Amino acid sequence: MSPELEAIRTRVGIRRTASTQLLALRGDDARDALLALCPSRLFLRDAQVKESLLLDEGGRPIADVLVCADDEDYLLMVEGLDAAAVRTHVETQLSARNLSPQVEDVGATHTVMSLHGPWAWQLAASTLGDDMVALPYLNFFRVDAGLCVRAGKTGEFGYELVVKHEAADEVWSSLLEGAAKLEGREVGAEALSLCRFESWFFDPAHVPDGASPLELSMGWRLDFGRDWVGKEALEARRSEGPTRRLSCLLAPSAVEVGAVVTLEGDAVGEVTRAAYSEAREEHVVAALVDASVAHGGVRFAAGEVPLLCVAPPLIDNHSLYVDPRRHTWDARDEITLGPLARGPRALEPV
Amino acid sequence: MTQELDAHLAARREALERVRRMLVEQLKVSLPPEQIDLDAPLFGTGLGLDSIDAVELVVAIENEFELTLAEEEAQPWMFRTVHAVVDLVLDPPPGARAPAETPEEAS
Repeated sequence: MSPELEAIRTRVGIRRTASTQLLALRGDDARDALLALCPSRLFLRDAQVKESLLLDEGGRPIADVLVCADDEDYLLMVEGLDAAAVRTHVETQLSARNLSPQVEDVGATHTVMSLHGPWAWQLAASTLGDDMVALPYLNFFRVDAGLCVRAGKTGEFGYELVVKHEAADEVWSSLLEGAAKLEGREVGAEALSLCRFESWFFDPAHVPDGASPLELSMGWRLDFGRDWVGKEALEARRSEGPTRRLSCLLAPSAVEVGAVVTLEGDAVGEVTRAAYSEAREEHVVAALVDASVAHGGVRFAAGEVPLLCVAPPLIDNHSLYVDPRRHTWDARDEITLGPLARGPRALEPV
Repeated sequence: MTQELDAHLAARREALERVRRMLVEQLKVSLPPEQIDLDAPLFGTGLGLDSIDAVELVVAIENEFELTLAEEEAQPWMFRTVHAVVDLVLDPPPGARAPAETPEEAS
């Protein structure tokens, strides 16, 4: 495996990113604005975090969102749109609903750093304090430098640090130093994107044309009991039931995005993403496939390449076996870890 | 569609329906069964089950599908999504399925 992938999957990878937009909703209209913009069930107590989306009017996901409840305010960590596009979307949609919360660009004063890997919790603790070990999934702690949000996107322990600009260089230096002690390293967007794909987390950079959360197995992020941007379009789709479903397939060799997926010679779908997984030593493929046949164990093909439909995630994450209350990096040999690849393997070419 | 594929899909659909019903009736997932996505995560995010539910999930699977899941064979990834549970109940680890009764025992 490449050093970056190995860091994320077996130790810790860190990244200082400018691609996450930070937006705070404050004031009397903050909650109504949040509910209009984000379709998930959002009953949050202070310091709780929830995964949601931004949808366009057609119900297509345009961004992945972590909603952080900060007392009476909400911090939105948005991935998939640049700062100007987020602002335009929010202002347009809230104005159409006569909502006028204070919208603050937190990205103007804070930066985001992220930690990923089975030992990310130990790096968070050594950098920000031992309390981080007790931080539950989808919650945040307030720290001197800003916030520490626990929300992984690779199947491993994951933390997003929202750090004040004036403290950012010092925190980043500490992270680099701490990561080196854990044999970790700085990682790039490409490595994180692949890990996200292998673990079948939603990636707003890879939304197939015409797909809604219903085709993407994200119906659980939609609360149809209230109104939100895109609901009308999705209600019609929901009553009919999605005709296609994004399916996880394994291939023994490369396939092209856009390739037709066939089943017993009949066209049943289209490849929407494909990448070589170094952890599995085979190709991972996403395809929108007729929902009636999109089930595990079904053998599709793309041209001459056989495709096997499987249940994601495709990685037996080491983070599932590392317990912050019992383990330490120095005593890591006490943990018995199996291979990263799990489940069936790609079919051999016929 | 070949008979083999037809039978495979029928078995998958039936198992999926039973897993969905089990999640609603026994794990109290607050969604109509047909809205539980095949690849929805079960824990933390997704359907929102927690560590206490994990024990109940194993018991529910054992009861619903007449399986015995030994602790050393029940790997965490087997319970990550609805789809993974469907895989598990259709192709359980060796030893999880009770041996078929002999005609004498059945009578």
